[in-house]
Amino acid sequence: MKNSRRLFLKSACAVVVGASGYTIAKSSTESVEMDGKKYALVHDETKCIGCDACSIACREVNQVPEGVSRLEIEREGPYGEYPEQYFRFTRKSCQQCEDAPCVKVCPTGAAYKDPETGIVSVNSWKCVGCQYCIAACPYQVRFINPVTHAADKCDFCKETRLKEGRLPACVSACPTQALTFGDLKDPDSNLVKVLKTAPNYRSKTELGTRPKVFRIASQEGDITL
Amino acid sequence: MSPFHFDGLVWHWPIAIYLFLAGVSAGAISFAILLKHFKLGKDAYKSGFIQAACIIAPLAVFAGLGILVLDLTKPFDFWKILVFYNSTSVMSVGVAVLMIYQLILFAWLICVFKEPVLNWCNGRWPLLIRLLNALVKHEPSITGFLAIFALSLGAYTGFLLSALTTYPMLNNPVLPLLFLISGLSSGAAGTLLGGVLLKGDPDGKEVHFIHNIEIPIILVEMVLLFTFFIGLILSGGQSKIAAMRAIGEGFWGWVFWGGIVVLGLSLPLAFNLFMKASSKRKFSYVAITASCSLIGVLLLRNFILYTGQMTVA
Amino acid sequence: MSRIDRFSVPLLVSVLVLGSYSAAVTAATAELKINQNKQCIMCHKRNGKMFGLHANDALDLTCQNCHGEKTGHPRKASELIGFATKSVAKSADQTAVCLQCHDVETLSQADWTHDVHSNKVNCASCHQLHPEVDPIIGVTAPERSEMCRDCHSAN
Repeated sequence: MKNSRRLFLKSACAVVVGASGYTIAKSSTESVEMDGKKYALVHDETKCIGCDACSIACREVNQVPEGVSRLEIEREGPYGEYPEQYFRFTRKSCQQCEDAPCVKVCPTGAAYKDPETGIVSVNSWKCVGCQYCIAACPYQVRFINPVTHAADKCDFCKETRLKEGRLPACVSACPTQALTFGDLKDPDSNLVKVLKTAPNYRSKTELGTRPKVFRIASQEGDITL
Repeated sequence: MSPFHFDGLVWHWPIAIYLFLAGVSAGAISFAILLKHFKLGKDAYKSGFIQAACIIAPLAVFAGLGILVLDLTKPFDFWKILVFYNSTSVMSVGVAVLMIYQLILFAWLICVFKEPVLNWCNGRWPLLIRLLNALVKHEPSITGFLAIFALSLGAYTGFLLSALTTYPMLNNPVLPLLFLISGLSSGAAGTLLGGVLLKGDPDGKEVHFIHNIEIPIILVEMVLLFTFFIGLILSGGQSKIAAMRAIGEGFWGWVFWGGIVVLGLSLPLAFNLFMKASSKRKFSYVAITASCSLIGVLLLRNFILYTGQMTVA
Repeated sequence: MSRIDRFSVPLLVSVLVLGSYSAAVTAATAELKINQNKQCIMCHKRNGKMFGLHANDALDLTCQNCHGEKTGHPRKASELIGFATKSVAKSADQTAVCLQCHDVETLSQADWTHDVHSNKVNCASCHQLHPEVDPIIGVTAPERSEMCRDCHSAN
């Protein structure tokens, strides 16, 4: 009796450990993508003037309620002495991670990566509003939409502009053409050309998220350590 | 920076209460299993402490789940968490653990209280009696699974937070262990407090047994807390900033040193050692020690949740 | 800071005074002091009248404070300065007049765009002081963004 119980406990423990180990291991070796597209975006910070045309267009096209936003331009500065002053502008929006933390933590699968486009999206019907994804996103770009009560964020206008065969609202609104949108898998796309000619960076890559929003760094202002 | 409202704060105190209650439930039932297995045997159900643990465990887990559901932005859609499943989500796995845990918990409660239940049936409902007897036959397996799932539940409360790469203080391998151990100690405290309130003997063998386990548990908890913060500080960068902000300043600094280290750990440890040395255990000693432990663990959950979200990677 | 106080205190007082005596002294307030400047208004009746914030009697400004002394105007050379994109005065000279009173810090706090435009365009590109309300005040976000686009355009 005593031995059988011990054996049982041991094997049960082994099963639990094995199962959880398998799940975690499986999640880290991602399966090969289907032959869909892989959309990405470049924000050329050297061209950005901080006019907010992108965020205004985004709000209008995607019906984003006041008080929350899918896209914001953050301003840093001024650097330098008057009257030679500069600002730096960075884009705050979904980074369209290849290895998206929000998708990993979502308990219902409401946060998912669209296999056709590679765009991280939200199924607002499946979302229960646990806010785990909001906490898990290191870029802090997810929010609860006050109208739908579901998590929301930038989806490269997948449900609006892309459906009509047009560019995302922010890209076409930008007066200085600081935004380039395209398919990473298409070597002839403007996106790939821009990425190959200009040195670029991505935010918080050390967290292993592999974001698909690239940035061309502003040359103005001070060097920050 | 206000201690309860700041940029980047996503999860508020209801989540801390939920984590606390899940820990209490898992801890209480673990101690009930230990008491029954090693000390009380078949007559376990007569002990006030077992009764207390068996009331606390299901109530705490229900209350915790209730808080969790109410905290959703779409509380009426909570069933979708049960229907849709994502194997990479700690929360999804945790919900499964919680569901199975509750099932096994009730099976085990029936096994423990089989005599009073059978007496109450008094020969009526033969089908029910047959089912009960069939269930009781599997008590060893039920006990084993319950122990595993209780420990999983206790650890899950920590994994839930440590899966968040956003926050360097939460994304910490020690956190699940810390929450498991502190959950066990809160379960022990809950069992003791409930037991003496239910007229259990404050100098009984149950109290001696639990206190003997509680002392090493508190020591381990202290070591884990130390490792947790030293680990963060030695990691440097944002981890170090997060740790220093949490324990080095302001409201939460006071909560940590006064509420968690002194009230929640040192005082219960001192009381326990005193009671062991003097071998005098009175109602008031046991109740005060247990209350200190419970408050300490509740503060720890809130402290980790809030300060963890203060610093972003 | 002291500069703001110097203006805002009399300004507030004058608003109060004007408010309480408005009925009795309508005739007197109809013509702001600045617009009784015969030297200028004689000719510039139509285009010279000043109704904006800067016309307030309590500020005690004259046309000359901003536009300079008449000297030989209109027949001979003068130091007069006009404020507009079409003005012959250089942008820097136009801006310098405004900066006599408005300091860089306060402007920077009021709106960040001051910092990056002050040596590139003249103030009158966005501001108009003669109308009752400066059209830039209360401009909506889309209008404002549109103004950026007017100059900053890749096409």
